[in-house]
Amino acid sequence: MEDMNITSAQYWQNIDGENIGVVIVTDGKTIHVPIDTNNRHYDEIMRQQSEGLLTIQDAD
Amino acid sequence: MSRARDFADLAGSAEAGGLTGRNLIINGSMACFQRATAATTMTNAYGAVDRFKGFSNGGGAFTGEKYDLTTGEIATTGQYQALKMLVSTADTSIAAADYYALQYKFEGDDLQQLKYGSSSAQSFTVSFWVKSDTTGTYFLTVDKVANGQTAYRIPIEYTIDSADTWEKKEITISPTAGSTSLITSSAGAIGGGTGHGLSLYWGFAWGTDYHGTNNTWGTGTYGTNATANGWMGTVGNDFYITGIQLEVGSATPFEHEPYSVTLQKAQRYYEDSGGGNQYTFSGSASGFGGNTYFDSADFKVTKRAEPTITITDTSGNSGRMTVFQGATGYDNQQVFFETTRVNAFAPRTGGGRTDAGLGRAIWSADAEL
Repeated sequence: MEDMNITSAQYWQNIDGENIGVVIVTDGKTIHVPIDTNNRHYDEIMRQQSEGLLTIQDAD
Repeated sequence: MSRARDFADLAGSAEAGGLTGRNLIINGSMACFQRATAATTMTNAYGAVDRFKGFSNGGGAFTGEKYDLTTGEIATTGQYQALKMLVSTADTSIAAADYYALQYKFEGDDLQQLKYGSSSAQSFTVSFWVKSDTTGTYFLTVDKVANGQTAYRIPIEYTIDSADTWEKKEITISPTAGSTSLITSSAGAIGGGTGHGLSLYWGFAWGTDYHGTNNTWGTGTYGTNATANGWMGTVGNDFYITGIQLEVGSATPFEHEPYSVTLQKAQRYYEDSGGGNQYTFSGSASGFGGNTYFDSADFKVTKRAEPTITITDTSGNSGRMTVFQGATGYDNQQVFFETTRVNAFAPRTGGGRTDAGLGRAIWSADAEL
């Protein structure tokens, strides 16, 4: 498990309007996490969401 | 003994691996420190050295940094760099659920030659050089993670006998260690693919929740009840490690390779714009929806998975780029990505600066396990 203190999370979309990633703020840093179940950060985001620890906002 | 005999023996002992490609550890020489060379926290994170991460639970903490071996140390070990770890926050009372270790993760496909999950499962050997100011019992743990099968672990005790002295350790792990048949059963298979198949841990302390029997495969057993070495108990305690090799069969000499080869292997998992250097993107399309679309940055090495991207503008603002309209640069432009692929990513910025010709940023791409 990765230590990730996520304070915000929001989907982002490509030009076709598809959600292709989640932009999160963790420990004051903004990082872009692709939707890929083989990405350990995405796995951690999904874990926190499934445990009710995190809400991912819709894309703007 | 003739040179031909040496080669024949080497080829034979390495069995399937032959003369090259024997070492299944990437960056076992500790040559690559892409993220940082100075002391960096490793609390459940990839801190400095490539491919190795901290693994911990508890109130203590440790750092990792690059260490340059002296001429005398090179003569002893044959290595020129090591990972130096220091206790930065002590933990004087290891609770039942606490643990502290250095971890290395393998992709499942890279270990299928071990033939786990069958009666043909192979023994393998982990060898490494180690030095510490704290003598006593330490642990090497093999964690055959679930990944669609069942997780099995084996803790193996080793000792650091003399303080501040490089010692070579060679540990062979049998698939039936402790007269068990967990690994040779079908559930003992290593899950394939590019996901996590197996981990090695160099353990400093394992709480009683994780104790098992030395050199015996089990389910939740990362450590043993051997007297703790106390490494985590004092700030400043050190632990140096280098020359790590995992190979099928018994130990052979360390497989040295050029730095460029090690770097290329490591970049399958992590790559950046070059030690904090700025990368220049060309604007490729402007105006659509108030965005500027930039040409992609192509990775030097295809990644294991779609990577997490960290990007900052030239003033250090996180999640931002600097965009240029003519010769004037504008910081703090919010970035999203049109694509993040295993071989490239392409950013776009909004903010109304739709005729930007260039963009500059410092970035990293992380596809570690």
